[in-house]
Amino acid sequence: MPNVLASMKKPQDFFLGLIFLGVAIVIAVYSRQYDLGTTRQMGPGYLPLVIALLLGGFGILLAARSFFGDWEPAERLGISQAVLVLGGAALFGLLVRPAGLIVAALVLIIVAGFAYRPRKRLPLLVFAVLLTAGCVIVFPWLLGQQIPVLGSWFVR
Amino acid sequence: MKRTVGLFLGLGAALLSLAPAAQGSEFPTRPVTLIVGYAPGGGTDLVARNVAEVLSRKWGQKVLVENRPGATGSIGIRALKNAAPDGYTLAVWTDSDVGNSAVQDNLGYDLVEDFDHISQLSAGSTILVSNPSVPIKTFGDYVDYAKKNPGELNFAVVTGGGMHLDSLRINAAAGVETAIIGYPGSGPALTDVIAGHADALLLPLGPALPHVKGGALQALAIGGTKRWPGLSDVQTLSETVPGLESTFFHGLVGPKGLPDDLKASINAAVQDALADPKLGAQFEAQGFIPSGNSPEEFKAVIAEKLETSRTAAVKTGLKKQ
Amino acid sequence: MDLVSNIAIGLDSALSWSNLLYAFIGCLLGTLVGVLPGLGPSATVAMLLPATYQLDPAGSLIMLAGIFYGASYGGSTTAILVNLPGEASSVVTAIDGYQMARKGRAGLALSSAACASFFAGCVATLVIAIFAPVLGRMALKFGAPEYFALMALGLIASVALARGSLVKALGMIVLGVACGLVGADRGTSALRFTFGIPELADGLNIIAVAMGMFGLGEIIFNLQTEPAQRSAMKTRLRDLWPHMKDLRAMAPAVARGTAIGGVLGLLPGGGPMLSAFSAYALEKRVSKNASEFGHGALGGVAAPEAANNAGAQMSFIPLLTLGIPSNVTMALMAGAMMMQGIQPGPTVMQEQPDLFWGLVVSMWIGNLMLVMLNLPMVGLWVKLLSIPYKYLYLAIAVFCCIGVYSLNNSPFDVYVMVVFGFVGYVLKKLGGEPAPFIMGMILGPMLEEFLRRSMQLSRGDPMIFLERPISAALLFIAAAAIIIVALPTVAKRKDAVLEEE
Repeated sequence: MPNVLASMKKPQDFFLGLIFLGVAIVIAVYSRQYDLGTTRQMGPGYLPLVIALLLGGFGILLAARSFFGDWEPAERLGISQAVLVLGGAALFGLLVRPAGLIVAALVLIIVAGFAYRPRKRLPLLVFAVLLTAGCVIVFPWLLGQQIPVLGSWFVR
Repeated sequence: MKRTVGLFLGLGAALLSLAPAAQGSEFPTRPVTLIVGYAPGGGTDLVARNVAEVLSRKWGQKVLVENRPGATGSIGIRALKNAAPDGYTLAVWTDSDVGNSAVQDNLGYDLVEDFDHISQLSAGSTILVSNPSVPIKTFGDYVDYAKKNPGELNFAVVTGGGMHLDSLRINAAAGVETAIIGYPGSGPALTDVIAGHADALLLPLGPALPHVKGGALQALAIGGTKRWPGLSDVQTLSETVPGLESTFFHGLVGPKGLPDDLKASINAAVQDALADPKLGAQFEAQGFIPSGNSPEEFKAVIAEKLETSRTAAVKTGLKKQ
Repeated sequence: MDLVSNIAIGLDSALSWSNLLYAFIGCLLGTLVGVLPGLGPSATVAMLLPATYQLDPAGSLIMLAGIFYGASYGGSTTAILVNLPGEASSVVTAIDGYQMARKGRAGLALSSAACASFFAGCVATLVIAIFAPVLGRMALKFGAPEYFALMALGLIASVALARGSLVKALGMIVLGVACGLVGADRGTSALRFTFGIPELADGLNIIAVAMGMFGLGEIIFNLQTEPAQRSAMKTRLRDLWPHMKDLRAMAPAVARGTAIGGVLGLLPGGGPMLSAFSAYALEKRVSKNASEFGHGALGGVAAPEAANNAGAQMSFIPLLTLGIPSNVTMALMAGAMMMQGIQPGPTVMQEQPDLFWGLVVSMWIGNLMLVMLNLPMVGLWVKLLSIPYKYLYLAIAVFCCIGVYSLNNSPFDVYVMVVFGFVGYVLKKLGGEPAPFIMGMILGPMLEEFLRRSMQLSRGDPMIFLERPISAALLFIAAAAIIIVALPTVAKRKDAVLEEE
């Protein structure tokens, strides 16, 4: 097995092909519960089957092709920035209703703020407060959006 | 770090003091929210906004419409179920909500038992129309034509929408069979019938009126029990098949547990609002009439509609057993 | 002369001071709100809709039209500056516009986009004034088989949105179609791939997905590049305005974009959505500097912007002549009309000519105001890029979250954005680009819908696609396109020949 992988020329293509194939298999397996229908009255399972076949085909093609051609090194999949930025956004989603916009925006800015290095803490906090205040003024107040400034934790 | 925590607390306290006090003598003392389970610009949204405008004038408090579209209205209904029964969160429902409950299982709510119904807001009629190139002028013609040419006519329906069930119910009651062509919304369905790609469609009266008057659509029958004043030469469904009707409603509902006096006070305000002449004119332009009732009556209306829809859903095969 | 008297009616009603003011306020508000990431035209119109209820019918429609144009342009602004498409159609603008911005030519991209939109708007307004009723009827020629053929052609043309390998682009399109499957099937209401989550019943929100893949994904990518490279985004101010040679270079692109947008915008079943990226796909094929596409080609910004605006303008035709809203924004306009007691439809033109012609004239005024308002603002927008990235990205992230939350007032859409931010990031690292994915996600469900309906109408006979001339022609072009892209050697040889000439 290691020999096979070692002869791989384009690891990026290989893994993308693997993802395509994996999704195709999930679709194929999961959509077996859906009715295929007839040509006249196509059921909900018709297109998923076609998609699974196409996507699986492309996946296999891509993975197979990755063993030929010139060597293309893979990029590193840096994860820390992704976790901080996306984690901050996820926390925003979790907090915006119960805690409200102020808390959610502050948490998002501070968590995502550490994705940038080097980062000084005090300017980040000052910026977080200013930006949050700006958001509160613009979105719920000026634009009248229905986004709670303070969530159900604070307002009964 | 301590400094910043203090800053946060200060900011929080300042904003808390801005939050309006929840108690007071007269309802409402702060803005009231009307949840609409459909997108802005749709029929239910328009009714809610019309009513909200009159209510906020009468109450002297903002009445906000909050659109929570999704899953044929059920996202909005679930949001209402979880709201506090203090009168500050109410919702506007329509026929699709009942139809959806009749067809779908496991929605997580019971339209009759899990809510406190306040008042019906509007009563509307549907209209059955066809493309003018089809050689039929009335519902009677439609039945004859469909019986002579079974499965030929292309009947457009909005899949899963409020009129889907009624379309099937009308065909079943008239004993005819047509091909059913599915659409994701009433706009595309209407377009295809005007263009002649499909033959017939059942839809709320309002959006159909200009096309009927302009000659782009042939009106076959009115779904309501009475003929519509502006279209007095169009028969009702029941004139061909006695007892057959197809109507729709909008109504105001609150979460379960509204205090009785609060419910009565909101109901009174609604009846008052429905008598507003401007509101009446706006409703009429959209094809329905203001129509209020008591909480008990409205609850009975919902229960009855739900029962009829459930029976029809099973009978027409829309709901698989 | 009918047209002259009609335009006179229109000028009469649109040119009142109050209506001009509404048009101006509409454009200004639309631009300011639309420029916030996550708030595309339909969200902006929805948000500002209640503000117009108090006005008289003509004034409210004029203001809404202004909001709509302003928001569309504002959406393109963020697409160019920070790679944040506020709606599906500016996904295309983001491809080359953002690359231009990275090369310090953001000002040129913005001003060219404004000029291209203005030109397209003028042409489209004129066409509406002269041909509206005829064109409205022509749009009705498109039934399900024709739309199916159009969507098939669109899916194949999506390949043009990718920079890299063909197989990857095709795979990303199909993956996008797969994600478009999630939710209630439009034809049968059966729930697919919802995994018991009620919010998924309506499918994945396309804007949340696009915000995740483009907006958040881009932030993560930028944060991983070295700080020195990051500051390379500084803009040279002298490049704010197009030079004569830029104008000459983009003129044919703008003309082609306008033509494509004008034709596709008419079709209520999803045409306007296709216009921007069809224009891009065509431009990439016919442009003399095709190799620049994807790396900051001026034509890659001007053509889709022209097509987008022409398409948006033309989508008023089905609404005004037939009462058919062709997209969410038009549905909102219809709602606004109904709120004013007007049923949009064929009768509006006869019974309220001042309203109809006033709207037509104010479309042109709205376009003019947009250009007058935005050209001076280009310098200001470009200055935004000089905010240090360590602060700018945080503001973008917060605006994305708020914008996506307010789509449906639901935190769920924020989670969708987060998940697709990650998915998009991983795929992009592996060479899978987001633009074809998004197109697949938009077009897939429509393709299925029209295929199913065609089959229902033909009682299961696939010959319906070949018996109807328009669909047969479109499918023939699609087949030809497959052959051309599948034979890269042929295409390469052809390009080489062209370059030699």
